Amino acid sequence: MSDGSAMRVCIDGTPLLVRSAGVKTYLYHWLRSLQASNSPHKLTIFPRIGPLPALDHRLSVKPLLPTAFRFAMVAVLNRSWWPAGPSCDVFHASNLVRCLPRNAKAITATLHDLTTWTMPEMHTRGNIAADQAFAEAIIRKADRLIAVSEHTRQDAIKVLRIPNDRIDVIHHGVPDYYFEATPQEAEAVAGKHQLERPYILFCATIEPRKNLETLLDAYNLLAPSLQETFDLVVAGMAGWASQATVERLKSSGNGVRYLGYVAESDMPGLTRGATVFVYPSLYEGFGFPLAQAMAAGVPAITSAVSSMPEIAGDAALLIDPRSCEELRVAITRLLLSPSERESLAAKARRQAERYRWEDCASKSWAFFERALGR
Amino acid sequence: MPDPIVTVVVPTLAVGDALEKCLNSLEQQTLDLFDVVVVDNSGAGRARAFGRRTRVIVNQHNIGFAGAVNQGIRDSHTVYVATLNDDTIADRRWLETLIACAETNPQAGMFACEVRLMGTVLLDSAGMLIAADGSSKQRGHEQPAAEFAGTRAALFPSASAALYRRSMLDLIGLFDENFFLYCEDTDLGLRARWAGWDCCYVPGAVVEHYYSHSAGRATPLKAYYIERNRLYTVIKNFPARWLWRVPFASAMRYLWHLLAIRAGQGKGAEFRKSGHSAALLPLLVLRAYFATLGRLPYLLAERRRIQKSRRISSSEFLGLIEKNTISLREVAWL
Repeated sequence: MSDGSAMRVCIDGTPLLVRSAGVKTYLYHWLRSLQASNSPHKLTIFPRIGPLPALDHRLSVKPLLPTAFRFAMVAVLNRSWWPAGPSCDVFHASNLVRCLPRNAKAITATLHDLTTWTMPEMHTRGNIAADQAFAEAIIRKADRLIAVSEHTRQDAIKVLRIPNDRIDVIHHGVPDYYFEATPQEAEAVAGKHQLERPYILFCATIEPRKNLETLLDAYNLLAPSLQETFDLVVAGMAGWASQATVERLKSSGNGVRYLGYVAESDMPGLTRGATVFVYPSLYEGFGFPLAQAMAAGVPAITSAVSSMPEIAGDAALLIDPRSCEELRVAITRLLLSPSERESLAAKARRQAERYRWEDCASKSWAFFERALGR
Repeated sequence: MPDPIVTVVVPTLAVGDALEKCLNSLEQQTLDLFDVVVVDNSGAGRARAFGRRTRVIVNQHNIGFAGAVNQGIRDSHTVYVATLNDDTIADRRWLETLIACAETNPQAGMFACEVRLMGTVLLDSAGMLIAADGSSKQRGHEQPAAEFAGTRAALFPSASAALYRRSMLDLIGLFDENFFLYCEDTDLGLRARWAGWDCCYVPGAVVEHYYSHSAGRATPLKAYYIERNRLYTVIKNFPARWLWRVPFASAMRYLWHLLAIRAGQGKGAEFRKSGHSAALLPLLVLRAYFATLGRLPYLLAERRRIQKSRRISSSEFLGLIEKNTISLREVAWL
């Protein structure tokens, strides 16, 4: 194959068939942006999925039976006796794949985060085992890797001892509809969810790593007049080890509004309508909700750890996520200072311009070319 | 660094440890949205800028509390102005709690703090009360702060620790500098009430106060100013249909004072304990009346101005006062 010819890239889309938040969002928008980009190369998805329907994090993108069928295909691929996988030049594996397709010229993968190594207490044993198997089978052998942030890249170099010249940082994008969300949209979504008061927004799957408990503590310690004026709106499906937190959300009456899973179509409006967005996560590989809030021009507070300072730049207030007081003060400061909210929101929009799916797609094509040694 | 939204004005007569402690407590505030103006009235010019957010105005001589606070207000442009005595220590969350309340209660222009007696759980004040003769007293004085934790309103704040909305001050004017010392907060509070502004009491906005540190606990000077400024306040602010009661109420209070002094109670007794003859008191009262007489044209002009721009009726005003009244006996006895 000469350098000028089209390459055939096959991307493992199995995470689209499961219940997932961040990884699925990534894969969904990434595939769509690669499909939409004007590239001479050929893209296939394994297993074949067809046109992508609207994104729902709770369910497979396919109905039950087709999903089961496709899982069977993945299981077959994962048996080493199977002679060949999908035929392609570059195979981009997900963490659900264990065996490399033999006829691919290059293997690549995306590194989201290394929390199963750095924060095992935040994961199930199954999760940890799966990530470690993925690391042994794919990551160590891959020709090139995408890290979703510089922070993840550094972690991979430190934890997995992967040579630094094999990893490229390609940030995620934020869908255009977050950039374009309007106040009218925000009003409509607020009406739909009966949000009558201005609100502080948190959105993420409810799990210990997202550190929602600290946010609830901080909210309860806000000056009473602020609690009476601003609701805390929590949007996200219940995830691992979330029972106690979900119960607390449902039972804490004054000002806390738990919306459960909010459809992706409502998220831009819900985000745009927030007075302040708070994301006190203990660890993020990238942190979609933060980037989305920034794109919608909502002033944000986030943690000064892992990738969040990198993603936020100087466009968010950074706090120590273990400090309830720091969080409470930051929230109070933003709620009380319209001028600071405005200046942060303007900076946030500028910063978020770095996270466009188009850019991500063109960088990804260049990445695949490098993986083939071109 | 975000733009400040509050200027804390700290007038001081005795630049020393107390002021340093006070400014230090401001440095510890949780909320980073304020600056500080120290107005040095000591005449010695010893106040020094303390911390990066503080600036100092030095006066050659004592221009009084009202004048000093006004200087600080005129020297700033923030949305809110807080007044704070130099013999106080503000809790770390003082401004955070206070501003949160102010930002969420736009109808209110004044905010009274939970002012505690230093080192206790007892209140110095939870806003102010007023008596039929125009005397004002701290609400909740020496009562447990917890008893007022559910209260949300006050008549007006004590300027020992208060927050005012600048847009209100722009409309009704600043502290009346003719008062020099004492009761200027009563006058300002009543003027604000006439102009239709509410006052919030903000439990949780805690300031600890060494009570009456700056001018001694009971001195002839204090007795004179309080009596004179009470008369100023009444003439400027009391509705016509209450004015006729004031002489009778005053006489009644003098009587209670007499009894209280004999029983060794109240401010009168304190005055004696401080080494002053009680016989001095009638002379001070007389002097206050003469001073008021001399100021009558000014006071009446102010009265007309206040009435011209009033936003509530006399009945509404009296209704407010009746909800926040203190008996003459208590004024004399406490």
